[in-house]
Amino acid sequence: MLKLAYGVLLAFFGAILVHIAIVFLIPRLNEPRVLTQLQSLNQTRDPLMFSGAEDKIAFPGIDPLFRYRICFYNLEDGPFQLVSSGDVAFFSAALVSFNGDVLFSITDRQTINRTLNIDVRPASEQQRLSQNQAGDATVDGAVPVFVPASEGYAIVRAFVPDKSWEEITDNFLTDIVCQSG
Amino acid sequence: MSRATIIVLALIAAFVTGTATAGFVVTHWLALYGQQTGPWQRLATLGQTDNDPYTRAFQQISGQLPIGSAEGQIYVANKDSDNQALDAACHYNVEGDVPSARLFTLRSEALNRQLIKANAPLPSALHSDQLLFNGTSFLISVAPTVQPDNWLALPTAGAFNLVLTYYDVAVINDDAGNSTRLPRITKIGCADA
Repeated sequence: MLKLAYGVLLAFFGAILVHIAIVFLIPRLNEPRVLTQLQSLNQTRDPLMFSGAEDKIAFPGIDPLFRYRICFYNLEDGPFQLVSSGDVAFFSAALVSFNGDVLFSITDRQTINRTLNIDVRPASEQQRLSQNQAGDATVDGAVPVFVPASEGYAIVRAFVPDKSWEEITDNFLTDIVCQSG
Repeated sequence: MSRATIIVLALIAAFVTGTATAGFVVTHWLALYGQQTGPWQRLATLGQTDNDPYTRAFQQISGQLPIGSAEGQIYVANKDSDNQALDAACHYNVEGDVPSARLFTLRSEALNRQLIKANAPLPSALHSDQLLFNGTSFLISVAPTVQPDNWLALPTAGAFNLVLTYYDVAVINDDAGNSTRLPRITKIGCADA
C-alpha cells in the first residue's frame, strides 16, 4: 500500500513538472506557427501582400475585410523604414518580433497627415540618437521607433469597406516602402 | 509489484498526464483564461512582451497574425448570452451600443478559427460603416436565412464562433470591453426547433 501511495505521489508531482516543462519549452522548441505560415507563402522573406478573404490564407481569426502587407526586417542590415503614401479607409501597422511579440503598433489616426513614416532602429541606438538630435522627435521627417529585437516583421493592415475600395487599397499596400539600410 | 515497476509506471503516467494537460491547457487558453465580458472572450495579453508562459505558448501555436493594442481588440464568442453554444442552424440577434472604436467588424468562423465563408454574394462579414443604426445602438441578425436590415449569413450547420473586432479603440484604459457594453447575443429560434 505504501508503495502504491509512493507511486501515485511520484506520478502526481512528475506530471506537474512535465506540464510546466512543456509549457515553457513550446516557445523555445517550436517556430511560431504564424511564421511558418508566412514562410509557406514566401520563402525568400520578400514583402508579401494578401487579402484576409483569400482561400489560401489560413491564419486563424484573420479578418476578411482587411488586406495585409508583410515586410521582414533585420536591423543588422541598418535601420528599417516603413513609409506609406496615398489614402485608404483605415490602416494600422505593427512591428512584431519573430516570437510574436508586438513591439510597436500605430493606427492612421496616430500618424502625421495619415501617412505612415517610421524609422525602426535597435533599442541600443536610442540614447545616441537622442543626444545627437535633442529636441527633434523625427529622423529626416520619420518617427523613430526603437525595438529590442533586431529581427522581425511589420504588418500593415488596410480596411476594404467594399469592392470599390479593393484597387485603392491594393495600390496603397503595394506602394508602401519597406526597406533596410 | 516491485518498487522498480511502480517507479516506471509512475513516470510513464507523469509524462502522459503532464503532456496531455499541458497540450489541453495551452490549446484552450483563450477559453480558460480569456477575459470574459458577457459571452465574449479576449486574451488581452496576447502579443505583449511581458505575457505569462501559457499565453506565450498559446501565441506560439495559435498561428494568429498578431495585432497591437493600439490597432484593435479581438473578442470571440462561442456561446450566446444565455451560455448556450452557438449553432449555425439558429437565428441570433447581436445587439449593442456603438462602441468607442473607430470601426468594428463582425464575422463567423469555425471552431478551429478558420473563416466561414457564405456563398457569394451573401454577407459573411459585416463592418460598422455599412450597418443600419438605431440612434446609438445596432442590431445584427446572424442567421442561415435572409433577414432584413443588418444580416450576417451563416452558411453551414454546427457549432461556430462569432468574432467581434474593434479597431482603433479610443479609450484611455485601452479596453473597449470595460468602457463599452459589448453586444448581447440572443437566440431567436432554430430551424429544427
